[in-house]
Amino acid sequence: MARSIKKGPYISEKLVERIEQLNKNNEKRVIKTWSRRSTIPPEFVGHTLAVHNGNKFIPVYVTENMVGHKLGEFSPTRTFRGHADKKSEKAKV
Amino acid sequence: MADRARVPDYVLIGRILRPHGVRGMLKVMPETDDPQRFHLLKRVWLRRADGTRQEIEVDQVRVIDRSVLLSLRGVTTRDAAEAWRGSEIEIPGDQLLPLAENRHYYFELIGLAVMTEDGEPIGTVKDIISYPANDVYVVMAGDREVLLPDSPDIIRSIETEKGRIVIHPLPGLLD
Repeated sequence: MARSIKKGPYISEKLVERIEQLNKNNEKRVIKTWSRRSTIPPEFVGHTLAVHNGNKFIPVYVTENMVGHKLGEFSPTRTFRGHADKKSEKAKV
Repeated sequence: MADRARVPDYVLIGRILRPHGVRGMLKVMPETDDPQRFHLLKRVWLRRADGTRQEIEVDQVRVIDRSVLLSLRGVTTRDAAEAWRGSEIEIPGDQLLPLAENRHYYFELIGLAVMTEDGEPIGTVKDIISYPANDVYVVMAGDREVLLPDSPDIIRSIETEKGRIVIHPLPGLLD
């Protein structure tokens, strides 16, 4: 067994506790977190987390295909230049 | 269909990158979701960096993956094509492609008022940023910036004809 499999994914304990509490109460709220290194478990799906990027909290709505990735992957730390040109013929889905 | 009141006079559909070959073809970076739409063009408006616009007929279009090769009437040499390097390709707002229901062009959403389901105003949409997880609306609430994710839990409805976006403010969202 590979060492990383034996150790399991890292998830901030505090974050897991808060999400479990929300799931238990069937409640939704935005949770701020600095824990960019936390892996996203299936329990997080459907919640909105505000993930700090070093400057501000980027709201991340967790979907199924994000499970197994780290929270930091969805909150870029560099100035983002991927805007659609505001006058272009590009549409939001 | 796009809300007519919010459609600009001219809409950007591509940027000319560089000449292609020696017969005046131009390589274009499409600024539209569907590059095949270039096949529908009969004429385009080219906008130079100094803001001047010129209407010109389209002779030939080839779409290869995500890039477009364009041949324009009267542009038959590489030197003539070179003169258009960096220009923007535009169409009049009334030639926009129709969208499916519940889809909106980005320019329709900028400037919309954001309010809660109870009618409490939050601010106006200043920008929309595409992050890896979801689009994020940048809303100016007074002198404060609020980021709203494009998630079904939060964005309840987008009503361009009424000029507003209705949201459900989850606890912690506006802090």
